Amino acid sequence: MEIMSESSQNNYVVETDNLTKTYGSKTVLDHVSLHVAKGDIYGFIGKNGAGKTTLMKLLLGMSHPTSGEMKLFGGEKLSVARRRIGALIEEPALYKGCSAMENMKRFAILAGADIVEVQEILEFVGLGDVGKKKVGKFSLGMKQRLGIAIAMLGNPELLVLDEPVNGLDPEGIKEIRDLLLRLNHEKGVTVLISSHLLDELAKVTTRYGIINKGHLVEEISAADLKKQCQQKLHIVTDKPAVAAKIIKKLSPKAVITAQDNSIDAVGITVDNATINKQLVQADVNVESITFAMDSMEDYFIQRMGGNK
Amino acid sequence: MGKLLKFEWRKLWRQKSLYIIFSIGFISIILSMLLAKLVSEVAAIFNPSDDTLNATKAMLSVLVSSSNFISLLGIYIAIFVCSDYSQHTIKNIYARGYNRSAVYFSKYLISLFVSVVVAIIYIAFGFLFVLISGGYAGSMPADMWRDLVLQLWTVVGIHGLFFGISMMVGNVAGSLAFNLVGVSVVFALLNTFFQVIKVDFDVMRYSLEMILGGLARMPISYNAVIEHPGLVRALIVPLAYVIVFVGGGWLVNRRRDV
Repeated sequence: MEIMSESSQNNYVVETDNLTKTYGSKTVLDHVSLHVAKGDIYGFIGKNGAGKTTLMKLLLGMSHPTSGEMKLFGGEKLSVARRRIGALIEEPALYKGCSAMENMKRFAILAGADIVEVQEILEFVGLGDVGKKKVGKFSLGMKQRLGIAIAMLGNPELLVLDEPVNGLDPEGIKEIRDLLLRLNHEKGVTVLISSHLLDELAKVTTRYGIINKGHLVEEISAADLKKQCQQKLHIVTDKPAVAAKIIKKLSPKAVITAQDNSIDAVGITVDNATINKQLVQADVNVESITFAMDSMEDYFIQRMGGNK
Repeated sequence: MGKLLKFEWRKLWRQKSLYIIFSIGFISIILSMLLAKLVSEVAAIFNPSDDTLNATKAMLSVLVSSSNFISLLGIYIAIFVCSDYSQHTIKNIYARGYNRSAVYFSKYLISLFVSVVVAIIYIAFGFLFVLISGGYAGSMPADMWRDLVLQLWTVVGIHGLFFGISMMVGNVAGSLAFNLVGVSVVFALLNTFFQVIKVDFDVMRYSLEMILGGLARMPISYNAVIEHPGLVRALIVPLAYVIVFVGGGWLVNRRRDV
């Protein structure tokens, strides 16, 4: 089950095929097929409980899949491939009675890192001068930095970060963002990152995966998303349901929300003249057609099932 | 596996609880030995003809067989083994690609090493203490060394029992409760059960604590009520505990999500 039988020629660092996880009768991940290419900063977006952490845990071997397959670094044996990954899942897992240095030294043994690397990383995340202060007395932000520092041990080729900027102040968030960009640009580190701070994600992400109630709704590149967000169509009409059907037929990938006397459509791939013509031919009165700029936030909220 | 052993080893020596627990053990052993010596000397006054009453043997009998040592072992194993689960640091270990079996057996080997070494140190310390507090009186029983080795073997069994339980429970508080109280409660319930159904089966013969006590106190006549387990039972029962509990803990652990 662990390794896909087909040897693909693509450049995916992470690839899952119909990955499913159930707890009793509850399905928390439902046939998720995710693709993270080498060099991506892949933003994983979904509401709380959508399945983001569960998927990350499956990738990292903390949890066992119920069914489906996953492939890391093109199909390398999972236990070997995981040695090329650094991870921070949920809150940082630390030895609270020890110093930052002692925590790093312990995990450096597992990652095969030396003391020079430990000191460099601690400096890098801004914890180079905390001395022997116990981790239990750290602020949440400091713990978060230390968690990221531990993930960076051993020069990983893939970083899996679950809500890594939680608890950080704006300056701290910027530092982590700059850090991820540096790691990505300078060292070619691929990053799979989840966050509920969409604006922050948008500043670094090259590709998005949107998950809702265990289903991967969409994978989209940052460039495509930008285009989509510029094409929100607002139509005021007396027959919104009929109009919605016509538009769906013209642009099958569009996401349409119908109200009492209007519709909003995101992801339209045809021009508004064609839409207008088709609506008139179908005897739909069109009071107005306007294109509006949709915010990235609106786009994601719509994909994630609105505000329900 | 090598890196995991190194990791556990580093954790072990930087765990303050290890020093606290086994320091308490030393104090407890000294007190127990002094008490055993006193009891033995008083008994000898009333039974001057009984040459088996020997203060040295009495003192040595309490080394690792005391319930204090067993309790301390239960506490140390629960804390050492479960701390990674309670603090969730186990996630960092699994995330580095180390499989559950390797993690499990690295914890087993390091904690077993400490348990056996501490037991040996206690025994050596006991002999030293006897020497300091008056030297050897009388002759040692011929099978004393054999029984000391069997005591160490029983410590391996007790370690297996506590280790397996701790890994099955997976958190420090729960493991402490099971190790300190749970095992005795289970034996008491089983004993009562066999008495109620009128089956002639002495389940306490298979308690490691009783076997350890039997091995330690055999040469001393005033403790003759505690039966020596015999070579076969002293060898087989600890082994059975290791197989059942270490194996059981491994089976539970290999499918557990963290």
